[in-house]
Amino acid sequence: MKRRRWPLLGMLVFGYAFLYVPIVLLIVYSFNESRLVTVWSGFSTRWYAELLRNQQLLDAAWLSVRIAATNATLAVVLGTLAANALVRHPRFRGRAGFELLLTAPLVMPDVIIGLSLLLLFVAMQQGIGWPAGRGFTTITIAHITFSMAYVAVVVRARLSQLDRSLEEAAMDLGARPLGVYRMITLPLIAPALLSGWLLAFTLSLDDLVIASFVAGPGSTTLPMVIYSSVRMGVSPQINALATLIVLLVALAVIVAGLSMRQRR
Amino acid sequence: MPTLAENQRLEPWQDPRAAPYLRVDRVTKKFGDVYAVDDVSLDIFKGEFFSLLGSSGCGKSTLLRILAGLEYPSAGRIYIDGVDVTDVPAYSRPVNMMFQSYALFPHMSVEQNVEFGLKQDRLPRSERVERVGEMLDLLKITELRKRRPDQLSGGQRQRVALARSLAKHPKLLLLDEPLGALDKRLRENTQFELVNLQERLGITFVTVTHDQEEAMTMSTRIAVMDAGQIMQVDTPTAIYEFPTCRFVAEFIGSVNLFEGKVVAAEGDEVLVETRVGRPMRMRSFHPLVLGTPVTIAVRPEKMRLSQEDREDGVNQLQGVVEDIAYLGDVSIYRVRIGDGSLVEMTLTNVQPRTEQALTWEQEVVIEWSPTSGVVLTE
Repeated sequence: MKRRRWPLLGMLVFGYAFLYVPIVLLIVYSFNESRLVTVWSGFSTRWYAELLRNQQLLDAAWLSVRIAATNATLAVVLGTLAANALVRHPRFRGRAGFELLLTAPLVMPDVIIGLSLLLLFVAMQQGIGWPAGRGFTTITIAHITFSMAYVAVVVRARLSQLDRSLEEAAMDLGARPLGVYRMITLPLIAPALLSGWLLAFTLSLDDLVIASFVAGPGSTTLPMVIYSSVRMGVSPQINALATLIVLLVALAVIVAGLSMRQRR
Repeated sequence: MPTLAENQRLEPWQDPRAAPYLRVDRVTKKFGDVYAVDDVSLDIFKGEFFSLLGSSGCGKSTLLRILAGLEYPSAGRIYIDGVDVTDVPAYSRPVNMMFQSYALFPHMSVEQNVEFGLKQDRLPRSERVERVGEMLDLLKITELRKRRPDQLSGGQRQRVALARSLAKHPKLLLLDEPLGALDKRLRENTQFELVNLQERLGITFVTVTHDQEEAMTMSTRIAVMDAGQIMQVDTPTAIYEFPTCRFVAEFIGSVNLFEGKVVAAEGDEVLVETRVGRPMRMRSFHPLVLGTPVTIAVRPEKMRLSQEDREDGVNQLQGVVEDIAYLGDVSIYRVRIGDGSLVEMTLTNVQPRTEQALTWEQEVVIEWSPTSGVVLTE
């Protein structure tokens, strides 16, 4: 029987096109000479040059990356601790409540998280004087509250699949509990930690709504700058910046993939 | 004939002066309301190959984990070489364990796996390298040293796990179903290898197994467990020939059981009246009061065919051959006797099968001698 491959192939092509044509167009137009984003007039790298001179955009990008990296690192630490508690201690007081609260940010609308955190930060500033003003610290704290939940989900899945006898064997061979965690548990859940970190990084870099609530003057993140500039018409600089980000992300994914392969 | 001194070296549990190397003193472990281990006491001596035998869920693995320090007993104490180690955590106990799943660290090579325990002891590098080499050599896995666990076969993994647990030169090695994951052929070869290794290194082995054949071949002594309790501790021969209770008799090998009560006692023999045939005359190791309810246990291979049905013959049963299972070296016959129950009898196939006398539906008389079985009281 001859298999009819065209419908399947067509669907595949359509699927990929749907996902990647916009990105390809964005990259192509970043090399456009024209000021108009939609009209091709010739190859040029002038927008990259202009991007490098646009201090506001660069500052925003640098701030976003700093927030994203800090957020991802702290979220991985806290999320892993939470996952450990849930997987390793099947019974402790308030476990159900803890689990519910941990996963709540996954389903909570961003607007509500943003607003409630804004109210909290304002109240705290009036009450105890910290955090003084809003900016890097408040945005990072806000991002950690929800990215931690994602990290916990990812790490928990990996941790519950881990064979407990591996840790018991290490202990039997003379490793103390902390040593067991460092030498056995951490290396084995490292892939989950890495993907949790990348996930938290992306979520933070991506966030517009929550950041808009808890950001202060002088702490404008990249999504906020892009969003406000789009309202006044897209500058091809944004295309250039987006191209650089896509390149960076692609590189990060490739490096992560390669390092995983070597571990195996 | 071995002298008494030799005998006591080979069977230290017979020597009243010998101190046990491992002493389990009235250990109980409860999970919720369930007794996984129920008031177990054991003395295990230096150089023994001791097996905990039982079906799954009988508590044998829990007991092993308590010995390793991976579970804390609800009650009772554990002594190793006279020292109370009940409160000593697993990482400080002079005991190593080979896990049923082998538990090889997947992110380390064979070499690193074996070296792990030595690193925890902070041995100098040169000594570690030497010790790892020695272990890999001992288990003939030197050429696998750079491989990862997922690049090994089941048999190779078993060897690596063994090498890793022996690397620290423990005085006591615990093995949880050491051969459970191997196929039958490999298992048989490995059995002998394990015993040789144990004798050569002089390490005390405590293994857990559900396979009676495995326990019989390898052990110096066996503890048969059921429902968290120890039913009998003895040498493989004694466990098989002289079980002390019905559970052990039925758990190890096949057995024919006849219930009855004592009607006469003369010397070390008793006469037992049962529901089938004439009273049976059996040897008893304990004096029994008349009227005691007992169960007579006779192994199938201890039974033989009688040429004639003598009027004064004891331990004789008449019946009809109902089933024949030909196993090559032996044949198993199921004989339907007077009260309708089946008696199992094993006969060696001395003659080629075609010339055998017994066929289906044939009337036979089975007999056995008074010393060929045991009288169980319960």
